[in-house]
Amino acid sequence: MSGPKDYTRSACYMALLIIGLLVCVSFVPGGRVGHVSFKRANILSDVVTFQDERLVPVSDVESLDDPSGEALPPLPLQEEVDATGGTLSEEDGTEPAPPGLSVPRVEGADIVRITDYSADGQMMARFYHALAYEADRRPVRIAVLGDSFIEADIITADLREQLQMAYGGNGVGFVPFSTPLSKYRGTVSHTHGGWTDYNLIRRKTVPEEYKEWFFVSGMLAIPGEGASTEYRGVQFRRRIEKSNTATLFFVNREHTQLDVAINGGEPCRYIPDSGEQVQRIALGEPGISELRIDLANPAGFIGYGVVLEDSVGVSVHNFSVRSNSGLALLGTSREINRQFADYLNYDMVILQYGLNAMSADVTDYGHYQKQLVRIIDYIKRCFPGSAVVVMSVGDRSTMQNGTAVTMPAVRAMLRTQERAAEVCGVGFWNTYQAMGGDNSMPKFVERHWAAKDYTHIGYPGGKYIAEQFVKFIFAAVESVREQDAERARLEEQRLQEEMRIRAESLLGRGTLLDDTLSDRLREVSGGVFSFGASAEEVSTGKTLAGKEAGEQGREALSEDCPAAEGSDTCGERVSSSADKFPGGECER
Amino acid sequence: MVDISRIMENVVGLLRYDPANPLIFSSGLFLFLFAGFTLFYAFMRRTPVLRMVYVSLFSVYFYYKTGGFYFFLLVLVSVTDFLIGRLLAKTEVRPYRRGLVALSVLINLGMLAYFKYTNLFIQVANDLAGRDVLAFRNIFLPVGISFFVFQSMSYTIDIYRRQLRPLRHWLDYFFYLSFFPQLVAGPIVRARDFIPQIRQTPLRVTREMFGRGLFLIMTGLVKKAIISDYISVNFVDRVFDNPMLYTGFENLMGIYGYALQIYCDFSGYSDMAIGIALLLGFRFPKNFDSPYKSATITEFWRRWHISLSAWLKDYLYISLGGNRKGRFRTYVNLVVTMLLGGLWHGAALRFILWGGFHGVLLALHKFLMRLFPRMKVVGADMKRGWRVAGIVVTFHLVCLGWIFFRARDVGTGVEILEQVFTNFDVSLIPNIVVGYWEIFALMLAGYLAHFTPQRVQEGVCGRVVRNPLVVNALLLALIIWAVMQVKSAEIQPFIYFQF
Repeated sequence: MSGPKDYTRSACYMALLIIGLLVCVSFVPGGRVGHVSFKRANILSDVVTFQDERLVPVSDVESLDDPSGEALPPLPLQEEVDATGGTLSEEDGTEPAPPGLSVPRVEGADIVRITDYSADGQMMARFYHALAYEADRRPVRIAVLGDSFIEADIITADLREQLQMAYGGNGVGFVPFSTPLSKYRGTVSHTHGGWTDYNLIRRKTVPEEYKEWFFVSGMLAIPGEGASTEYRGVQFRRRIEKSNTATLFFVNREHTQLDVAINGGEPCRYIPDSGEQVQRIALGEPGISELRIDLANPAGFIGYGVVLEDSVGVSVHNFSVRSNSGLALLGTSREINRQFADYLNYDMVILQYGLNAMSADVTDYGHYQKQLVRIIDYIKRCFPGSAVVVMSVGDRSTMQNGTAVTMPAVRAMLRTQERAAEVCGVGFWNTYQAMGGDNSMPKFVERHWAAKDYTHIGYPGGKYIAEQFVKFIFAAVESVREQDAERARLEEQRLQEEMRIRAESLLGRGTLLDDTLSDRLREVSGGVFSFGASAEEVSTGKTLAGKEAGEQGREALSEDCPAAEGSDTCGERVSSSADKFPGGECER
Repeated sequence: MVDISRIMENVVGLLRYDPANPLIFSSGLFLFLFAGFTLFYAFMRRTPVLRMVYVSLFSVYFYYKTGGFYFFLLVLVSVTDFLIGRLLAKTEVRPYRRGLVALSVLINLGMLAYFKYTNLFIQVANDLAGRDVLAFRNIFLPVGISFFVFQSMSYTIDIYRRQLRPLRHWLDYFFYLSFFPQLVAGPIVRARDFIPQIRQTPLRVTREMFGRGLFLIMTGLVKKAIISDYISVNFVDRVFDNPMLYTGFENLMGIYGYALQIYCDFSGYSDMAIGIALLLGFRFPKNFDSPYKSATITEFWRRWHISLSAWLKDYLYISLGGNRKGRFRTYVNLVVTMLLGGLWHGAALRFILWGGFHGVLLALHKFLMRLFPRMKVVGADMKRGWRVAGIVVTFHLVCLGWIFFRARDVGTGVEILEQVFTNFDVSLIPNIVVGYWEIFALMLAGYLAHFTPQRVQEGVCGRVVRNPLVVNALLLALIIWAVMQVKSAEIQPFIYFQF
């Protein structure tokens, strides 16, 4: 052997050796060592794959990103039932539902349906009925309760715009008095100062005296000296820049005074009565685009927020709380929710949760299902008469050998959520399907519709999802209108037939009457025929019942005050339509 | 159980070009291809021509797998510059020589300008005109064009300067230009460094070369496929996409993270290229030399992307006159060189700005050294205290540049700085560290490794050199296993701390 050894061959030996080692390793399935889990490392994954499915049941579901989660005191289902003295069925609070509303029939493979698990589909039918016939005489409100997925008005911004464009309405809906997220919400320009925010998710940090005051908005704003908040309408979406009503919601336990200025005008002082119940100051003026509220004597005041909406049309309220798996809703006050429900009468409550109950390697969510059933039941009690819809989780990705694919946990969570909706007899809508189903999240990320954590979407992604949701609602409302029109037409035919038979028997003739005579008879017996809506009236959405309710609503909320003398622009009367609400008075 | 036809189908599919999955060193496919390649390579130690043909064919296939059928551009450049090189050597007439080298530069830069910068020109034209006078074209950027174009120009310009004699056979030149380790992402190996090694007979890979090659491949893999890929997907990208959603501390960590990420990404890939070349018997010069250890900005550019800055110095700065045309002109030359160096990185104004930023800093340093003669050029010449201060200042200046290099636009970069200086929120730091512990652990490990003294690094390298083959194979297999874990890791979900 002359000279030092040459290593040209060694590269090949090395490569072959490594391949051999790695092929052996690829037969080792994944596992866990302490906190660290490792996956199967398959060097041949592009060519040959192994079946790798692990079902890991979990007894305690941890919240995804809650650094200081606190377990809520468990509320047995029985207790709630006894407390209300009622059953799981709806209670009186809104006008009684007319019997047998049309249930929509929507065809089409590319439409994602809201599956209605309620008895006879009447729960959702009521909602479609409200949109179809009542949106031009009263506000049709939708509350969307969710987690960080819909935060900053994502999805709801477009849901609101599309429904308002179709059915009327203006205004951005509910905005809290203060929130750490005000900078990120694109649908309203919100500045505030001097408030302390308490968040339902961080119950541990909430002082005792405030623990029982939470509404489903999940936030309380407690003012300090000189607290103020200011809203400005923006054109981020259509129809949210202005509204013709603004309603402040709060609890005034002592002697707080609120100075409210609309559109940069002179502030008007409100001195609400002291009390332990939720009060509101309802302001009505065409085109409210700026609102400023300053507080004096803040002690004892608990602020919720302001609702900016029109007196008719659609209003969508976004109630998002980060890290919420939905469970935190059970920590809201039943009584406070009730009081709000009395004022706000939501036609639909959407529950958009699941993200924070999901864990990548967990595919059994039986425990969460039970919790979700409790949550849905609680919401049904708090908002009786509202249609409840469970909006499922969207697609979420995990990395598999450098490519993003749908997490198996997603499908498991979808099944869980749909089952819970079914058990509770409410609606279910599949967001994952709306996004495009399997592996749809990477496409969202590519288009910059979602963030690179392959979990959260942005405004454009929310727009797409809202479009899918609204597509179904439009189709459902159309279907309801068509069916009602058809029904009314048949009803009128039937009545005409009946009348003719009666007339025949009266006149003692067996022949058919001519038209003029039958017309005369109709005039004479007017009352009989004005009871049901004619086909024409139904299709234009004008029924007698709806008309009355609308008028009432209009009186309650938008009565103009007589203008004061001089440059005094303060003329807003605080109106009250519920007698448990002691209104404040505008003072000068 | 095992479907042979499916497997064959998959294999064939793998061997075809897939634009969504270009071939990279850190992949299983490359490992298999390399094993196959080296099997026959080892028999060609004494047959240089056969070796060159074989390697060139493999390099063409490698390019095809990375960038499709644009390898014809590579062939085109090699033919034209080879011919120009031969013509340059045959003539002494000055204007004719000048014309030839200008032709070479024109062809190379023209091609580069067309493929890489057309849309940038269109955008600038539209901006200047105030409206859309021109429509954007859908031009595919051939892989590695920025590298092989510069490499090719180094050949013709060196011949023009009479620093190099042209090659006799086109095959040699094509072998040099297409050599697959440095083809796609550098380093920019200059003709005069590579050509003497082409026809070595017998091919020699010493124990030291083999060991060092392995060492570089190992560290390169860890840097690129573990550190860089993990922290970018799970942290840095998020912060740069939406700085306002993160506290000042997170933004600051994002900046430091990016500084580490871009270093690990770039130097990792470079190291792997150099390592693979060593395994095949070729020595490339170092491309990164622990750049964040620099105590001055001048030193930084002697440690960062050395092949590029050397190229820019020799072929651009010197051509512009270097420092031979007076002080002011020197500064101008520096800034212009760096502006173009920035532009080389990408077709966007922010890269030019980044280059200009560094150019100004370099000029400033030169100027300060005149004012304060005791100011040193490199840290090694400084006293301890000054050196540490210099390192900290230089690092942060470089990070400032990185912010605008990486951020989507200037506004986002400003937001990042805003968050760092106005929204730092010390109280949340413990939560944040716990929430992102894997990322911070990797960052800490990365920076610690970066700052280990040179002799310690050499010591580890020496260890690898002395290891028996099997031990190194185990080590490398372990690293590859870890890389695969990172590729399949759960995506870190977004955590919001700014309640």
